[in-house]
Amino acid sequence: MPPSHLKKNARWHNLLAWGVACCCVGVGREAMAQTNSITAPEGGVLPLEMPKPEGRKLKIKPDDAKDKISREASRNFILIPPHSEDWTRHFQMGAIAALNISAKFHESGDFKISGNDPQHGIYDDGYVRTDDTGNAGGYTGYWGYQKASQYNASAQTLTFHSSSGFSTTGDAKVNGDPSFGLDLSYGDDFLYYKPAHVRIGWELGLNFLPINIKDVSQLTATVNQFTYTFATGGIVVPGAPYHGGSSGQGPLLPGDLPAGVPVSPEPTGVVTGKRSLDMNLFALRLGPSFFWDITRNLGVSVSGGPVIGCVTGNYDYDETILVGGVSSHNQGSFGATEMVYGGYLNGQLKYHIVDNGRNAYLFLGAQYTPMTSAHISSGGRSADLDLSGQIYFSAGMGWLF
Amino acid sequence: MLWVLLTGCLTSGLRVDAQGLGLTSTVSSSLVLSTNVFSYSITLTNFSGFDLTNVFVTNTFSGSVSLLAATNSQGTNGIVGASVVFSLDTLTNHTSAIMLLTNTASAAGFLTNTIVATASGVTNLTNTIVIQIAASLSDLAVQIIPPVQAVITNDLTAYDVIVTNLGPGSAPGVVLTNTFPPGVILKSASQAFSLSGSNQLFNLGTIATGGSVDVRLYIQPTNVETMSLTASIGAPSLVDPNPTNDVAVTNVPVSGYLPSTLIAVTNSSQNINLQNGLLEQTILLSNTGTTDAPAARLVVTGLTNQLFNAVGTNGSSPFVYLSAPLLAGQSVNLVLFYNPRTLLPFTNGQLHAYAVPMPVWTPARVVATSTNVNIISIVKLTKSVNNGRMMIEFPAITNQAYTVVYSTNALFSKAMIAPPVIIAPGSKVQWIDYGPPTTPSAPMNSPARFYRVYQNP
Repeated sequence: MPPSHLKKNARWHNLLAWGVACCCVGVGREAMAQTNSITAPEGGVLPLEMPKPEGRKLKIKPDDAKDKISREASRNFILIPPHSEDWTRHFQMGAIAALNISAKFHESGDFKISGNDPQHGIYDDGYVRTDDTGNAGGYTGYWGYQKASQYNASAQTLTFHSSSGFSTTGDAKVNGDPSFGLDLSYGDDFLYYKPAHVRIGWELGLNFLPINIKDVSQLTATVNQFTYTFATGGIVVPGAPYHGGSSGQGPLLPGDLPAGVPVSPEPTGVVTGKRSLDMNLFALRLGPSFFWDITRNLGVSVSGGPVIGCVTGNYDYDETILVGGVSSHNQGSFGATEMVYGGYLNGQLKYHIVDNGRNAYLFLGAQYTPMTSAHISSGGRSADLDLSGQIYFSAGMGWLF
Repeated sequence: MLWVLLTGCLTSGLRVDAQGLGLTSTVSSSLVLSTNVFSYSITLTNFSGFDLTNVFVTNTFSGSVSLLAATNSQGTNGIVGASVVFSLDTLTNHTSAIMLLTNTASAAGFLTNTIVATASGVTNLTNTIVIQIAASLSDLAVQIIPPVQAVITNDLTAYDVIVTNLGPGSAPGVVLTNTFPPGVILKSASQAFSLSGSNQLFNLGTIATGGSVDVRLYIQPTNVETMSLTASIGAPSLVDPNPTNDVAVTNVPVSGYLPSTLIAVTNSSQNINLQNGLLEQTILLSNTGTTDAPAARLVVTGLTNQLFNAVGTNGSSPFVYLSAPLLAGQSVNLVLFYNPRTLLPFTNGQLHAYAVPMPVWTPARVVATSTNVNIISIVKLTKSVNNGRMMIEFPAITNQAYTVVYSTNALFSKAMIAPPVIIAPGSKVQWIDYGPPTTPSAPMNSPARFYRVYQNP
C-alpha cells in the first residue's frame, strides 16, 4: 500500500491536471531540455524515471484509487515532487521584438503656439529685442529679420509676423515600427502527462517594451496671426536675412514694440512636424505551461493565460505652422498612465546547453498578446495606442535549477 | 697614466705613447644627435721591441650607450660589465691592432669614453674622448617686429617677437628671453611668462620643424629714448648649428609730440547715428600755429563712454589720428563715435591735439594674412548725419574682426587701412566711410575711392 500522503497528493494533482487541461487556452514555457522516457508498468507501483545527465531517478508511487477514472488518471498523470532534483524550475530572460502595434492620433480644436513671444519682440520671422545699451535713445540694434518681403522700401517699414494659435481637425492611424524590449519569466513543472509525454507547470512572466509611434501627417489649419510693423526711420536696412547682435551697434530700429494687428480673414496654413507617443509597456502574465521534448537537446513549450499591463509615457508634439511663407514653431508634451489587460498565447523552441557547468537553454519564441487599448488625451489632442494585435518574437537564454 | 680630453672637433683623434705602446683613438663626431650612430676607431701599436702578450683594450662609457658593432683586426671582443673589451692576445713587435666600435646613445648630455690599453710588462695607456649627445639639432631663429606707428612717450604700444624653427629637427623646451630697457613698462603679453631679474622668460614648449610662435608684448615706454628691444632664444637639450640668429635686437625711437599749436573744439552736439548705433560728435581741429603739422593726434581725456573709433591709447586716454597734413591756418572736422550711445558730459578741455609724424596705414600685413570678403553693396547715404557718406555692406560672422582697406584706384596701389579694426556686431556689417579720422578726407572730396574688406585671422 502506498503511503497515505501520496494518495492525497495524487488525487489532488489529478484534479488539477484535468482542470488545467480543460481550461487553458495557451500552453506555457518550461524548460527541460532532456529526454523524457517514462514507462508505466502494468498495475502496482508506477515507477517514474526521468533520466538526467547525472542519471538520477525519480520514483513515485501512484494512488491506490478505487474508482476507474481515478485509476486511469493516476496512470496518465504523474506527480513531480516539488523537491525533486529533476530540474523543474527555470528562469529565463531574453529580448523581444514587438510587431503589429499601432496608434490613432486625433487633433481637433484651437491650439496655442508656444514658439514665439511677441510681448518680448520674438516673432515668427524675426526679433526686435532690448540691446545691451538698454535701448538707449529709444532704439535697439538687437534685431533681425528673415525675408526681403518683410521690408517695404517705399513705406520704410519692416513687418514681423506672429502666429498665436491655430484651429485644425485631423485623424491619422499610424502603424508603429517594431519595438524592442526585454522579457523575464520564471516557471515550474509539477506534473507529467504520460500519454502525450508532456510536462505541465506554470509560468510567471514580465516584459518591458518601449513603444514610440510618430504621426508626421500634415494638417490644414486656420491660423490666428498678427503683424507688427516698425518704422525703419530712414536707415538703409541690411539685406535679408539679417541677424543683429545684442551689442547695440549696427543699424537701429525703434525699441518700443508696436501693437499687433490681427490678420483678417484668418489665413489658412499647414501644420507639419510630428506628434508622437513615447510610451513604455510593462506587462505581467501568469498561466499554465506545457513542455515536450522532441530530442534529447531540443524541446518545445507552449503557454497561455491572462496578461495585465501598465502603459505609461508621453504624448509629444513638435509642429511647424506654415502660413504665407512664415513658419512658427509649436512644441509640448503631456503624459499619462493607463492600465491595459488581455491574454497571451506563447510558443517557444528550446535548445539545451551547459552554461558554466549549469544546465541552461537557448530559446526562440513567438507570442500573441492581444490587449486593450490605452487612451491618452489633453487639450484637444488624443491618441489611442492599439495593442489588440501585438505579436512578440523573442530570443534569449534560460537556466534550470 | 696619461689623460687626454678631446672636444669640439668633428673628428677627434689622440695618440699617446708610453713604454712601447702607442694608442690612437678617434670618434666620428664630437656632436651627435641622440638618434644618430657614432663610432670610435682605435689603433694600438707595439713599439716595445718585443712581442706583447695579454693585450687588452677596454672602453668604459660615462653614460648609457647601445653597442651596435665591435670589430678588431685580431683577437676577440666582448662586453664585460659596463665595458667593451677587445682581447688582442699577443701583439707582435712593431705591429698594430685596429679596433672599431659603433654605438648610439639616447641620453642628451656629454658622453665620455675612457679607453685603457693594457699588456703584460708595460705601463697602461689611457685615452679619454668626450662627445656631446644632443636631443635635437635645430636652427632656431628669433625676429622682432617693432610697432608700426611712431611711438610717443606713454603710448600703449605692442610689438611681436617671432620665434621660428628652421629645422632640421623639432625643438623641444624652447625658451624665449625678452629684455626691455629701463622706463619701459610691460602691460601684458600674449603668452604666459616668468620673470628672471628684469627679463621675461617665455616657455614656448616644442616648436616643430618649420613652425613658429608669435609672442606679442604690450608695452608702455615712458621716456624719450631709443628703446632697445632684445629677444634671445634657446633650448637646453638642443644644438643650434646657427647661433647667429638666436638673438634679435631692435631699436625703436620713442619721441615726444612734434612742436605745433593745434586746437580742438566740439563742433556739433552729440547725435545718435541710426545706421551704426553709435553716438557721434564732430570735433573741429585747427592748426593755429605757423608750422605745418605732418599729421595730428587728438587725445580725449576723461571719457565716460568708449571712444569707439580710437586707434590707440596714450597713458589711459584714447586717441584718433588725422592721417593727413594739417597746414598752418587749416581746420578739419573729425567725427568721434562713442559707445554706448548714451549722451555723455563733454567739454573742450577733454580734447588735446598734437602734431605727430604721419601714421603708417599700409596694409601689407593685413593683405598677407587675411581673407578677402565680398562686398554686397556700396551706398551713398543721404539721410541725417550720414548725408554724403559712403557705406559698404558685407556679410560677416558676429564678433569676427574685419579690416577695411581703401585706395584711390581699382588696382589698390598705395592702399591704406581704414582704422580701427571692425568687430562685426551682426550677420552683416554696414561700415561707413565718414572721412577723418578713419580716412584722410570725406569720400565725396576724393576723386575716387575703392574698398576692400578682409576677414582677420
